[in-house]
Amino acid sequence: MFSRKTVVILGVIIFIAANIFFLTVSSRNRTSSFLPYRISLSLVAPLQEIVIRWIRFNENIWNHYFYLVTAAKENKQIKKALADAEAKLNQYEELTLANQRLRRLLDFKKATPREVIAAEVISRDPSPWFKTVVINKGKNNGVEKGYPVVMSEGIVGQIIEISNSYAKVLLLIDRNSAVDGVVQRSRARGVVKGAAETQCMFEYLLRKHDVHVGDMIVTSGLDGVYPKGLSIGKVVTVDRPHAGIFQQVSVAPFVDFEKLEEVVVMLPPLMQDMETGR
Amino acid sequence: MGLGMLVIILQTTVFHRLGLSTGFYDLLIVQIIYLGLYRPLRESLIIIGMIGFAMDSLTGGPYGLYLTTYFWIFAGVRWSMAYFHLSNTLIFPFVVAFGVIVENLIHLVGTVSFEAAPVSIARTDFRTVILQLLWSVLTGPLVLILLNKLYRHSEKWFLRVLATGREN
Repeated sequence: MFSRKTVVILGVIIFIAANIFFLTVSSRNRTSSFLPYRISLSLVAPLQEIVIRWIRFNENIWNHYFYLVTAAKENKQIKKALADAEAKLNQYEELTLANQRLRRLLDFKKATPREVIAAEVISRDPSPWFKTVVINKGKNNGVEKGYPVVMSEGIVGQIIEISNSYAKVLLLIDRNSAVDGVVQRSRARGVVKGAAETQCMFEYLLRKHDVHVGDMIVTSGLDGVYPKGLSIGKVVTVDRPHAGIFQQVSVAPFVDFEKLEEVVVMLPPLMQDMETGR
Repeated sequence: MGLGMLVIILQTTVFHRLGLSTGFYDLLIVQIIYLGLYRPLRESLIIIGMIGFAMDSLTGGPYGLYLTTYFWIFAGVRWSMAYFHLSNTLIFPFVVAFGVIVENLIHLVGTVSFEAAPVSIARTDFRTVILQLLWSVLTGPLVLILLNKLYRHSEKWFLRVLATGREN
């Protein structure tokens, strides 16, 4: 009755209509669960979960790897920045300390009646038996042999050797150093000589002279090297032996010779200053 | 010679900053011992002269003190070689300690005898010498071995450069 072609077309139309009907009905009952779906879901979901977890695990590894690489790079940059900041901070601290030291020197320069030249200590004596330092000022700067070297705290030593740009300073604590000094309180006179690493001896002080622990020793100005009244150190021990005419007095210098960095060389007074009595 | 100058500069500047100014021994002693053990006489004397002069110019001691010190250490090492097998590594600590003792003795004599005023020796001086001896015994042999290797390598390198120069 119908051709084969007509049957196929009709079949397709009926199928489409049935499909639409089914979808319409099922869409209206979306909340009610359908057993085969539930079963299917229970079977497939765990596999999906495994797969998705595996994918996520790999994704995480991948992302973390890149994150770590980035973090490592950032860490490196941050460390470098921190090191730079620390170096700068250290530099600022050094500058602050240098500034303080130089201010003290400047104050001292203003307070002293003589002309002075600031110098930096550039090296130390290679032998522990001798106490000398080399400073970066020499003949070209007006420095001469025998000139006193001082700091705001007190005397440092005197120039014993000189070249055009450098000078060697014999420190107060060297065994060969001798400075004529007086006890500031009693005006008792003696000679301050280098003795050990950090101390000096105040020698040739007669037994009858008044000296106590804590007394300040200053230069007498009689040795022709150091001007009068410069600080040398403080008396730390006084020993009056049963025999002998002198006392044994040890003095701790005010200058810390281990931390010597900047010093000033005192030039001799000018003729007009000497005439006016400055 | 260049190495000697480098050591001099380090000893007078960096070592002090590191707190090694008094307790550490003079590293040039090791170089002098090396010269005594392994190098020809003329070359050694030239180097000793130059190093000694440089050190004398930097110290507050009498002129020629370091020159004398290094010369006597060198002479002592050379003389001892006739009686002892000094190039044995086990003897190195004693050789370096010998050098440190000679230097300190000469410096002590230099401090006490050559100065016009009488000088006193403090307890800290003995402590310094003992510290120097300890450092020298512990590190001296190592420095001596390193120095030997350094000289050998630099000599080989120098000869190679010289040979290449001739070929060209």
